[in-house]
Amino acid sequence: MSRPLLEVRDLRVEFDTHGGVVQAVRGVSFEAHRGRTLALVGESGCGKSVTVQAVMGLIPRPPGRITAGSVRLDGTELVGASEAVLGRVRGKRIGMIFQDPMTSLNPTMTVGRQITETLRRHEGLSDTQARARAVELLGQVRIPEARTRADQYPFQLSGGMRQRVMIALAIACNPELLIADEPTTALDVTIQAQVLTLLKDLQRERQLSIVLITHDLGVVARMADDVAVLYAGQVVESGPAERLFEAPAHPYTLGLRAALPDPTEGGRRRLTPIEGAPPDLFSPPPGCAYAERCPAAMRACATRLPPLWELEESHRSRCWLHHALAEQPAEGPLKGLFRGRTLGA
Amino acid sequence: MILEVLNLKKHFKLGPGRLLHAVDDVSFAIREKEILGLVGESGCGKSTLGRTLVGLHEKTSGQVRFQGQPLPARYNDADFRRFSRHIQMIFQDPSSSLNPRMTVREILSEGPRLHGLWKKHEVPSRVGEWLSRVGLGSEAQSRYPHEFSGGQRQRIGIARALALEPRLVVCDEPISALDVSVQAQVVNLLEDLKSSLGLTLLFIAHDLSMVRTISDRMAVMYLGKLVELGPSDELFFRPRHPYTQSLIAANPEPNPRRERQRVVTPLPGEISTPVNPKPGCRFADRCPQVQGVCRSVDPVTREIAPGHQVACHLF
Repeated sequence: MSRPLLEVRDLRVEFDTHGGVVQAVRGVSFEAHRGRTLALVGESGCGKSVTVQAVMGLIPRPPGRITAGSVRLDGTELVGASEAVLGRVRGKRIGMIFQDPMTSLNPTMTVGRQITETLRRHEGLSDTQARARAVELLGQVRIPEARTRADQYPFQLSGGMRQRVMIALAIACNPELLIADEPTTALDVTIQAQVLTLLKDLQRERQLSIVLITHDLGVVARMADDVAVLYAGQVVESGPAERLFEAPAHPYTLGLRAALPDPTEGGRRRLTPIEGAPPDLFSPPPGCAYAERCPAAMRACATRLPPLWELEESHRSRCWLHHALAEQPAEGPLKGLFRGRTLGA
Repeated sequence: MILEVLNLKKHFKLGPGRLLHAVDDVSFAIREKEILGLVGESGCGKSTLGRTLVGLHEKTSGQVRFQGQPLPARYNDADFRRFSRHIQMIFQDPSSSLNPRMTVREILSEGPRLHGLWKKHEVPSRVGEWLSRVGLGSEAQSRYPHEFSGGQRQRIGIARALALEPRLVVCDEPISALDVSVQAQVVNLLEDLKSSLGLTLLFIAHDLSMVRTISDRMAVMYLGKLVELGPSDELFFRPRHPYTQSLIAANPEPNPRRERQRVVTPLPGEISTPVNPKPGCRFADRCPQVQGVCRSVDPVTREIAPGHQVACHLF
C-alpha cells in the first residue's frame, strides 16, 4: 500500500483530574489510507474519542496533554505544530463529524451561514459565491429543498437532517480525511442507514479517507475496510475488517463478538458477556490491560505488556498467547484459537 | 393470557385542535411466561405504550385486562397499591430512575415495605438476597447510586422492580445505555430471573438483533400503530410489513462479508408527525409499495399465518 494519509505512532495522552492523572491513550498507533475507511472500535472509556481529538489538536490544555507520539498527515507532523498550522489543517484538510450535531452546530446561526463562514475563512470565497456553494453542499448531502433549509436554524431540523448539515460542513473545503465520531449513534436505524450510505457515496466520489469511531460492530461491518480495536487506551488488535470478524486473534475481540446476538436464523445461543470491567486508567496495570477479564490469562499477562505481534500482512494482535512458548488454552472459548498463530521464541 | 390490550389509545392534547396520537388503537396480548419484544424507532409510541400499561399514563380509551381483570383508565393511589405490585417497570436510564439521595437498601426496600411484603427486621437480609440474585455484593446496601457503574445501576433497577415479586415486568430500553459486553450481562440476568421466577416480560428496545435473541414473539410499532406481530424468528427473517422489512434491512449485522453483498436502499424520508395524523396508513408516505387505498383507508390487522399478524393493505 502507498504511504498512508494519516499515520499515528505511539500516541500518548493524559489528563489531570481531581483524582490524579488519567492515562486515556497509552501508545496508540494506526494508519488511514486514501479512499478507505478505518474503524476505531471500543467501549466507553477506551480512548477512541480522545485519540481523534489528539489527531485534530483539540485536546483541551490544561487539563490534557499529548505526552508522546506522532501524528502525521501526508507526512506533516501535527503534534507540537503551531495553532496556525493546525488551523489550516482542521476544517480544511481534515473534516470532522460528531455524535451530537445539536451541540456542535451553533444554535444562533442559520445552517447556511455556518457553512458560508467556513468557506469564506478557508477558501476565501465572496459572500455570494459562498452562499451558492453552501446550497450546493446541502444538496450534495441530499437535503431536500436545500435553498429553504439553508435559512433555517439547527433546532428547526430533525436529528438526521442536522447530521447531514454537519457532514456538509465537514466536506465544505474538500478535505482529504473525514473523522466521524459516532456519527449515527443518536439516530434511528433507518436514518442511520441513510447517513451511512451518504458517507459511502461521498467517499467514492471524493476518494475520502474516513476514520470512523464507533462501538457498534454492525456499523463497522457495513462501513470499514480496516479496523483497530481499542481497549483501555491501547490498540489490542488491528487489521482488515474481514480478518477481524472472521478470524479474530485477540481474546477481547473474540469476547465482544460472543457478547452479540447470533445473526443467523434459529441461532439462539446464549450471549456470553465479558465479566468484570475495564481497568482503572489512573493506575493502569503494567501488563495486559485485559488480563483481569481474560479467560486465558497467564501469569505473565498481569505483569508484562504483550507486544503487537504481526500475524499476517497488516493483521496484528497484542496477546501473549501468540508467543511460541505460551501454554495454549486446553478448553474454553479460546481453545485452538492460537493454533498456527504463534510467533517468535 | 396474562395481559390483554384492546384498542388502547393514548393521546396527548398539545393545544387547541392539536392532538398527539402517541398510541393509536393498539391491540395485542401477552402470554404467561413469555418475553414479548416491542421494537420501533423514536417517536413510535413504544415507551408511551409501556408506561400506559403500568399506569403511569392515563388511558385515553380502550381496555387493558390483567389476568382477566380490567385495569382502571386512570390509576388512583389505591389502584397503584393494588396493581403496581404485579406489574413493574425497569427504566432505560438507571441514573435518572434511582433516587440519588437514597441508599441501595432504601431503594430496594421501599416498595416491599409499602406493600407490607417485608417486615422491618427482615430488610437487610432480603435486600442482601436480591443483591446477590442480581450479582451484587451485600456491601452495596449502604451505598448510593452514584457509586456504581451503569451496568451495576441497571442491576439495582432490576432488583427494585423484581423485589415486589411482580407477574409482569415492562422493560423500557433496559440495555440501550450500556456497553456491548455489559448488555450481554444484563440480558442474561433478565433471562435467568425470568425462568427462575416465572416472570412475563414486555421488552421494549430499538436494537432488533438483541430483541430477537431474547424474545419469543416480536411486535413492531410505527407512529402509534402496531404494524406487525409474530414469532421472533419469523418476523425477523421473513418480515411481511414493508416497514418491518425496511427496518430489518437497515439493521447492520456484524458480518462484513454479508454487509458488503447487501444492497442497502435506505428508506426515504423521515418519520412524520404523530400530531393530528392524516387518515390512511401511517407509513404510506415512505412506503416503497404504497397504493392509492393506503392514503385514505386505515389498514386492518389480519392474521396471515398462525400467530403472525400484519396491518397492511397488501394482505
